[in-house]
Amino acid sequence: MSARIIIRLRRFFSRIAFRLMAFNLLLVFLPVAGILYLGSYEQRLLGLQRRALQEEARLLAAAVASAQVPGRSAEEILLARHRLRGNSNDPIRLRVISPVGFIIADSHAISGPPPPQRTNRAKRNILYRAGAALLRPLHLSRTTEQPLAAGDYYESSKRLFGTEVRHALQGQPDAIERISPDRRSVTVYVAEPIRAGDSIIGATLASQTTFPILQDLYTVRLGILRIFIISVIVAIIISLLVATTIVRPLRQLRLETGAILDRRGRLRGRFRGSRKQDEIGDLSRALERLTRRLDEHVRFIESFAADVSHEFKNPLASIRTATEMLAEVDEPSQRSRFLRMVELEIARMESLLSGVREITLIDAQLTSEQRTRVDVRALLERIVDGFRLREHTISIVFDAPPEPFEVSASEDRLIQVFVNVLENALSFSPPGGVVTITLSRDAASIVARISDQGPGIPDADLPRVFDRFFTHRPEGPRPRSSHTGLGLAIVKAIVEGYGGSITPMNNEAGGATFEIHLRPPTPR
Amino acid sequence: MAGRSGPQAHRTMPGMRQTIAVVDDEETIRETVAFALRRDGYDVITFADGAAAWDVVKDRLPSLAILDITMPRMDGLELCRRLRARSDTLPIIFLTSRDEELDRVLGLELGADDYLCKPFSMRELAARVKVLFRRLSFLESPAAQQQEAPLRVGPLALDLQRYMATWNDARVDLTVTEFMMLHALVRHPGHVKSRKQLTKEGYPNDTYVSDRTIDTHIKRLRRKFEDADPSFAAIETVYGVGYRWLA
Repeated sequence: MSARIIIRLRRFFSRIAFRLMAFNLLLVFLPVAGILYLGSYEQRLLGLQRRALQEEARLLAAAVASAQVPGRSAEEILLARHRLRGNSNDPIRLRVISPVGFIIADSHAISGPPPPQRTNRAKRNILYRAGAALLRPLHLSRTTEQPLAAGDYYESSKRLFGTEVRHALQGQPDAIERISPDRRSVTVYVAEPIRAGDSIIGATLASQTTFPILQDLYTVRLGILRIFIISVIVAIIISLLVATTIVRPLRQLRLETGAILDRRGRLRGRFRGSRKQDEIGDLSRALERLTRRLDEHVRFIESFAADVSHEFKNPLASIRTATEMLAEVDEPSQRSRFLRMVELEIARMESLLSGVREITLIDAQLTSEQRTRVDVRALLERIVDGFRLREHTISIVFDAPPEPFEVSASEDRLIQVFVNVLENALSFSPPGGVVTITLSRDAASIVARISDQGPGIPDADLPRVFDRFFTHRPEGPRPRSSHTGLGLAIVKAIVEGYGGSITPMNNEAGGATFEIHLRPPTPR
Repeated sequence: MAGRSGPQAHRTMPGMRQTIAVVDDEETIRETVAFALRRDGYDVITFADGAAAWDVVKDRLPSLAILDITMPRMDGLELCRRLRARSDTLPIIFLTSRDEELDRVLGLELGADDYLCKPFSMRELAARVKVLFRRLSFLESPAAQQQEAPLRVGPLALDLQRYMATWNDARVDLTVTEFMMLHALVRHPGHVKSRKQLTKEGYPNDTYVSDRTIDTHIKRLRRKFEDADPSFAAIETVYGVGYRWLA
């Protein structure tokens, strides 16, 4: 069971649509890395702040030390600084502390306390809260429900004896970070000793909350979150779009593939092809071509099988009726007559068989056979000589210019072609008729014409003379059984196998002509 | 074939020998068929194609014609059409060599009386010839007493001597083969007859008949009855088995 689930999961994860979605989403998660980076950004800002505070504390300490009356001048210095800064609220609180920890001067006393700090708008944003809620388990955000308040550590104490102040009064500058009551922001305290000669006459304390930094960070975070969410939506939309343009045509192809074979494995339908110009369109067109070719081939085989079985039925019918008669007649002359019929029909079936075998193998054989340069003129002369020895009632005229007519072919195949066409012409010739063979050239090929003076071919039959098993001959002296109706079909298969053509036509003066075009060998 | 009372009814004189025209471009078949029929006491004239046959028979119709379908010059279909134009009752038997050919020929409704597929049995052909002559003689002398009561199943009645079927007393023209198959179905109403059984009954002397041929005949039988009665549904196909007559 679990194995099946694993297979299913693997199928799901290997789906193209899923993979596209995954890649797109990975891209989107880059901003999250940005959020993680914000942590170290925050640390750096904190360090900078502390150094600025130290700077302030030191400046103040130096200023106070160089003054004659520390008490008054400290206040004056702070006042001067406040004026210098344009009387604005200073985020940095500066205090001057006596050696026993009492406050001598406080910048807040001069400028007033900073305005109450309010929660940043960004933090109240619904989006931010949702994001924070999602990310809380990851500790990427440490937000808290408590309102932010920049409470001061020394707010309620008269004497300031924090660690950093004690260290400063002992001559040791120190800095400390105290977590604000809101537990999110931090207040940095920096204390510096005020030295007068060798003695320490007090300390300065500079403090500032990190709250403003946090405010900025919240804004940045919100911005990143917005970008992230928009990116996720865009990624999903793009993935779905890509999925529909890729996956849907693919699924269509799969459905068509499933429907193309019926249960018995026969070709039923076809691929419809696609007008899409992408790779899937190419694939579907290739499949469409493939099934079309397959379908044509299957049709050819089926119709060929039907033709063959049809052709065999006639001799079979003859044999059957003749043998039935053989069983019923006793007279020797009748018996031998039926026996002769049976033998004749058996011979016919044999020649049919070899013809069928021949025609089915021609294509394969033509490509594997050795081709040589054959001079058609010399070949025809030999063939005609042979026929002249056999035929006494019909004369054969051969007319060709005295030059070689070379083609690249198997000599045996060419003999088969010309003998078949010549025999066809002779069989249709009336006694005393003439069969004329001419050889010539046209622009692209060698042209052989074989003409007879027979009845010609009825126009309706012209396209059919090469159909296998097509015979259309009137009763003649030759037994019908010597014609299988395959001779011209074989001729056509060979000629076309060599890239040539054969055309039947009727002569104006009567009789039929077969015009054979053969391509000369390509010069090397 | 409906209503065989055409312009010129075909007559055979009693006592005269019956002439059968055999038209086939296969010499062996022609000769064997002629030989066998002559032995059975018929006069036989043979032709190698439809045109040659028409030249002779147009002036003097034979008593029965056996026609091949695929022939040069004039095929059997055209010859049959011309013969039918001359006589509505002349029995015609077709010899076909393809199942598709049988479909086509039946579809043309040329009014042939029977069809045999090559390679057929000579005995089968001789039997069909006999049946057709018998049927013809009954048709020509309607006064002849019916010796046997017809087989009745519901609205169907089969006259086993004339090879004639009626549905609600209306004549349904059937070929001999169709009649024999119908008889086989009707003899045991409700029983399923396999295609093999139907072959045996439809072609008692022949075994070389394909199941497709049976299907073609059954299809035709249904159509002929549906033409007579659009609500006809008595022949049921039992998938994977065969056919049965619903009583």
